[in-house]
Amino acid sequence: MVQFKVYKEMVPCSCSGSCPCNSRWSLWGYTKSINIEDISVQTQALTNVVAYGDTPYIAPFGVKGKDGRVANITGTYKDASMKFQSSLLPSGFEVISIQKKEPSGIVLNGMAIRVSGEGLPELGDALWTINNITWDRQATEGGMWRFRLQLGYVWDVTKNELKLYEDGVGTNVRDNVKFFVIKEGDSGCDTDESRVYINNPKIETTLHDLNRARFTLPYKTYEKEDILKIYCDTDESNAVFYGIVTNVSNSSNSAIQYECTEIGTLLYRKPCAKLGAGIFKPRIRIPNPYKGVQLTLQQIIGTILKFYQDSPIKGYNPGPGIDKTGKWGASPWLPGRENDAYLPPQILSGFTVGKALDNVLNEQCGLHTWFDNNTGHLEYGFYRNIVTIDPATDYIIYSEQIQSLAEEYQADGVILIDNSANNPTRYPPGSEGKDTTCNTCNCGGNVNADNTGTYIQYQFSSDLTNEQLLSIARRIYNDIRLANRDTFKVKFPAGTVKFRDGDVFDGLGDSTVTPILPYRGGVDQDPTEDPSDSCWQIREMVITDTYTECTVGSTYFSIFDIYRTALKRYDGCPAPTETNDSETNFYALPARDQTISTSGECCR
Amino acid sequence: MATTFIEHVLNITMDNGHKKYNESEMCSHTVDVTLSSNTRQVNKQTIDSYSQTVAPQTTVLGYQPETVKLEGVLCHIADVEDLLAETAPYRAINTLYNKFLPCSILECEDSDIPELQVKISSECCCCCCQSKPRWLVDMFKIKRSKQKPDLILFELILMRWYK
Repeated sequence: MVQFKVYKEMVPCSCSGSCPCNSRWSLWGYTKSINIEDISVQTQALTNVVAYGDTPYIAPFGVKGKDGRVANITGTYKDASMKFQSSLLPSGFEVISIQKKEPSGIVLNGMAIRVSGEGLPELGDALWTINNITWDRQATEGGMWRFRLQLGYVWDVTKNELKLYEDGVGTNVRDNVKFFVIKEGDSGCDTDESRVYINNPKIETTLHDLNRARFTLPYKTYEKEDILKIYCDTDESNAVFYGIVTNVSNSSNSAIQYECTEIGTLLYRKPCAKLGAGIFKPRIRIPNPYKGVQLTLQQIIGTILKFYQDSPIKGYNPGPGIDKTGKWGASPWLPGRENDAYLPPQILSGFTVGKALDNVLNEQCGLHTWFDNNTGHLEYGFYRNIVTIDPATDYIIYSEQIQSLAEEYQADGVILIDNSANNPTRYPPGSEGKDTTCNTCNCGGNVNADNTGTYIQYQFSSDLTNEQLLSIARRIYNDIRLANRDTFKVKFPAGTVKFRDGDVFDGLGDSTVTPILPYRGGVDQDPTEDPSDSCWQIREMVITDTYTECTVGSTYFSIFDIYRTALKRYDGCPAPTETNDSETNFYALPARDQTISTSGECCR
Repeated sequence: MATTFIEHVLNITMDNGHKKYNESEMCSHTVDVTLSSNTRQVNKQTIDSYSQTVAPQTTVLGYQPETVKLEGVLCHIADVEDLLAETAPYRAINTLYNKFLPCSILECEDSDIPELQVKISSECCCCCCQSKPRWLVDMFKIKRSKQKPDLILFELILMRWYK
């Protein structure tokens, strides 16, 4: 005969991180012998099936969460009930499914059972939680109790039962973590009393803007302008977010919702000028060169930051500006344009400190800016820190391609025109590198004999020499043929909070999805050169209490990143600026009864 | 009808941040199965739900089902230990519900059920398309009732695995 051992869940042990031990289940008693009428055990795989190409693609994940394996049992008792064999229990207790306050001998939902005795091999030696109990008395069967149990499997994370994951990979991840807030200046130190655990946290970080955070509390704890740090209980020494409360509102469920902006927002409150009476203000500028010497980027940043540091707000100190490139901060050149273009003089009138920094670092230099979550110090560079994935805790749950920046077709060549469209330059040059001169009308215009194939046309916003145009066209041609301009989303388990926006993975890839996330490892020595060593960089990140999702892109600093808005794709066919003295060239409109020939004729 | 599967398991590895599968051959299973989806085609709907069309699509000439549902007798209650002995070296927890592991790949070695033996492509001559058909275990269920208290029955839903 079969009987069940009944276990009660105790307070979880105090193991930090994911607790692998099963000691939380304590033996609570035994049932009487049971007749099993019907039993089934079902294990459901968790897969993602997507249509890709000619055949569906299946990404296997394992089993369907905690309910991936369930059992259903129908059984009977010959006598009174499913009570324990305990002298402490009053007789007559029936099978009930409601929770009682005092300890009792009644089998309740949430308890667990384990088979004892012979005759029921389907459940094995495992623990099964009772998800539901129903029972009735069968009048036609002599008043016998019949019960139905819906059971859930208790997975033993210490055993790699399913063989889907190698040992130590992905089997011990948490699906929920807690975040807490410490208000700056509250107590001066982190104590349990100063921590406030928050609900529904959502921290959104991006390379291109200040980070934001949202959370709710059941009561009003903070005011606008309060400075907060948010921590995760998986890493209590490093803040996940450092910012200021910018909005407090009532959410729909009557909780108080807090919206916060990164601490660097204080730099946008300080103008690059000394305020005073009068209409006419002195023009604030940073001349470059200054006294015959070209200023470095760090010197320019230091000058701008001084406007803030002379009278800081709320005691916040952005520091001197930390150069994460290790090169360009001490350089007078625009990043990526060494021996080509110096840093220009800066006009700061009307700018706030934050906007002036954006102007120099983002728009002119193409660098990213960040603020350290612990110190609030300003950092700038192509990428931030190099991070390594720990397969036990930072296991990749899922990844998917979200954007491909590649051109929609693989062009055979590139045509680059400058601002006046007078010098259309093609790369690769024409057939065997030779253009032919128009031989029908003697206009002197160039007609490319090999005008077949597909081309993508770009326009530069200023006038360039032919050599410059050819150089840039060559770089465009190479960059648009790179396959590493795609963007992927990579999902990590809850509590993965060691990553920061701008960080670079020293190894990341996912070959279990389609399209695959190509593996890139190592270190990108110089993002402005040599795309072959590019890595995956975190462009955006969303951190919640149930997952961490990173949007990753290439570290390679392509020509589009260098010239940004100065270089854009142009799908028109711009007419050149014509004068009486100049002859029309290949791009001139033909006369009404004439057509453009591609065989060495240029018709005017 | 005896059907023999060679079990391959997918082992997810994380090698310096690179998530990938290693596939390794484990053991073989020979079970008596019938194709319950030969009269009602099974289609996967959500994670754990399936639909069955009334029209038997398998009667369409050349149809290759993406999902099949198999049913059969796993073993007699007296033969449980013998059955488990087959998988003992390959299972961290060797029990009846782990006879077929979810997300494992079954290569159909031998079967009387033609749907299980349809190759990926009869036209393509590459080794991938001409190799023995493979199926991913999507659901495995064991059951027993008082109508046949001595027989442990099973249901198996397989999805065609193209890699």
